[in-house]
Amino acid sequence: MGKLIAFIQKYLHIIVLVILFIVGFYFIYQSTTYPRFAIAHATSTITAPINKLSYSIISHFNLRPENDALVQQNLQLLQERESNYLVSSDSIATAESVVTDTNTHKTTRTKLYDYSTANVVYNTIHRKCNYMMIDKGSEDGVVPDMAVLSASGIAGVVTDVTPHFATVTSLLHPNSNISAKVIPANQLGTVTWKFGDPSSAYLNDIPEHMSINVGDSVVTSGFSDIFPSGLLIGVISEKSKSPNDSFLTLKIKLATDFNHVNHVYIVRNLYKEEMDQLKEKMEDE
Amino acid sequence: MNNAITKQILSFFLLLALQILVCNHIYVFGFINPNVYLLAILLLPITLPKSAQYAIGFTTGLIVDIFDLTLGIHAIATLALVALRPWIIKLLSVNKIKTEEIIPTPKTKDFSWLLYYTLIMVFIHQTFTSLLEIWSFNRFGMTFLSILINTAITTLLILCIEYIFIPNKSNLNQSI
Repeated sequence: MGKLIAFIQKYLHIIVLVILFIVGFYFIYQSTTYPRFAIAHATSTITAPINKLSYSIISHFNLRPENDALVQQNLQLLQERESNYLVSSDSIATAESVVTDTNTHKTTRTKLYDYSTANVVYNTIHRKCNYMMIDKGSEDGVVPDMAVLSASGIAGVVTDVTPHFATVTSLLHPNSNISAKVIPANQLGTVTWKFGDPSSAYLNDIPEHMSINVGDSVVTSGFSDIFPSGLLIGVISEKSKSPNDSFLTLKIKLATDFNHVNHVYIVRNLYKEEMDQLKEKMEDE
Repeated sequence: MNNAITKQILSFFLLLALQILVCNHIYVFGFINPNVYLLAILLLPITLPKSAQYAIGFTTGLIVDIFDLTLGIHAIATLALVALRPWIIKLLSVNKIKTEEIIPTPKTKDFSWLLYYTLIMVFIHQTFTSLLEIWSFNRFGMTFLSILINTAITTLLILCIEYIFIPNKSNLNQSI
């Protein structure tokens, strides 16, 4: 027993070193998968108020460009309100919706998306995986998989919520695949981001024969049930043909300036549960 | 002695606050992010028990990690730094370390020694954090460039802070 204690005393520092290394690598391993949020969750009681305080000071420096963008966004929302509704003629659905009777047709308008605002309290843009933290949580009705928009474009998707805060996986994340379409070619593709440049992303899956020009807008397709259709993602800034396959390589200048994101809009899909039910059935088959 | 310890602890927390509230929000040209908090590690007394040094290093890194949402990366890098520190000090010290030199500051060391010490330590730390964050050797050129520039900037900042806030050797000699 005495020998054991002497041994431990002699090599205590090596034991401590090895244990700490194991703990550290375990943390890194955890943080590469989803449960990193479990840890961020646990520490957010300490970090969130401090981050909120420092951002409350820093956000003053970005007020002017942010406010200009807000005016633009409000204008755009007023103009585009119609796209929040599903409009169908001769619909069989009548309940819970606004019905306009004309002589020949029945027009049904069903509200599909609802918006609310939030403030960003933490935001990274230069990492390989970027995240934001917003000051709305489950008590404000935020749930995972809600879309987050900035004043000028899309910003990310909610991944985790606490009662007062939520973590948003930024568009600047290697896992973000957003279903998009190019206007005016109307061709569907996927927007992905690669580590390096926080102001641009890539549009994939566009066949070579499509006539795409630099300056064309890339908007959300609306086929993902997270993002409503027609929201601006960015503008095509570079076009090149990849030698390996028959797809175009398109670089997008992102509409959202991730350097200056302070206010964001959260989008709630009012019929997400119904859509999810149908999807589950599809996957079962 | 008590006073010195209090000062050390206070400066430790001040440096952490500086890192979390100011330096974590600095991004010059997009990738230069100085890690000023390393000064707290550089100033640890050499005579402190090794296990205590490891614990302090790991905790410091972890605190920075928690605020950066990069769990584990700074903790591992700082831990490796503390573990390698005795060898680096041995490597740099031609003579045997005197007892009054237990804290390597401008008070006890001359400028070139401090420069090499800070440069090597910051470079090791920067290499660890960059490689752990990117987790691969892709885009090695850019990673290496960012390591070098970051090391230079962090070293410059740390030396500035040291020479501004700690009375240095030549000043002491003059006053005596």
